[in-house]
Amino acid sequence: MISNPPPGNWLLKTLSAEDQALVTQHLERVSIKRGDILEAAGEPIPYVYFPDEGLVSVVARMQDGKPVEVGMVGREGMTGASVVLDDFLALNEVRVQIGGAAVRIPSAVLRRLVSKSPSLHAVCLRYVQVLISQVAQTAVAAAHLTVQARLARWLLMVQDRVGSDQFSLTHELLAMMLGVRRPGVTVAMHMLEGEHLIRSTRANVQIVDRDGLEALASTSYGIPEGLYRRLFPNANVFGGPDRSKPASS
Amino acid sequence: MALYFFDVRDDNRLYPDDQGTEMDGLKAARTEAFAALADYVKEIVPTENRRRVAIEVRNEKSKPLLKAVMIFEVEVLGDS
Repeated sequence: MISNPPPGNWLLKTLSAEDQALVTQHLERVSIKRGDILEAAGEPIPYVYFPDEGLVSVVARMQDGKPVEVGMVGREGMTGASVVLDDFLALNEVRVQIGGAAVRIPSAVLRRLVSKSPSLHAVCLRYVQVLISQVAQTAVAAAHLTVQARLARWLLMVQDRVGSDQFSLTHELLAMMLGVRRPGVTVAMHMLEGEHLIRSTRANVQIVDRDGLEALASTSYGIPEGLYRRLFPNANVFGGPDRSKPASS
Repeated sequence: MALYFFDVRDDNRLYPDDQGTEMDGLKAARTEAFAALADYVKEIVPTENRRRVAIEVRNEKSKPLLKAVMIFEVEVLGDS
């Protein structure tokens, strides 16, 4: 248990003083490590996590186990969407991709607190709305964008969430997350590097030209981020273009 | 499981794989190479009339194991 609200997580920071007081006494600080499974698909969710460092993926799987990332959560959000939507089983696997730190609260406690405080519930629901938007844009990107553009989008999203322009990830993980073949990732990484948008060394990526990546990702990046800014005006956290209005056809 | 490397050669341009991927034997690597080639050609717009794209698979000791090749040929038959 911790006595002060954690500094890192943006969602917790947007809570009113009353809601912070309500939540804080139940929060436990934990470190999260790459590969940790925070939720298993179809299983009860023990804790809801509010990361403040590191990166967490929502991973959907085919029946044969083949994974694809459908959602990404970092210091801007929380896991456990099911819990605030009044379900108690996880829809998908939630796993840690980049290790870091988080605070967590037992699901049962959070469920009780959101039933007591409509304003706390509203913050959680608004975040789930952003997540739904993110998942929709991931589907659009998967259907219509080149691997290179999807990779650009993915790197921007990671940078937003880990708050660093440098992070470690392997091509193998990227291929798995984007649902593309390994050689496709290799080529896309080389292309981004050739255009001086990133620098890539073994299992490590550095973002060099964020504007260039945004141009490449085009409208696939920015809609959920704009929505987040609209729903959490006090958080003022995501950079990037304003695409809060849907693209016109 | 063994480590396989998939280098992509698009005409004269080489995109070397410096990380490799764990795969369950050469047969799996072969499937991966062909499927990746198909993915890759979907995304390129050939501006020239002939383009050759290859994926070369090698093992950890850089020994070449197989090569999957796809050749685009465009023949312009009229200009409007």
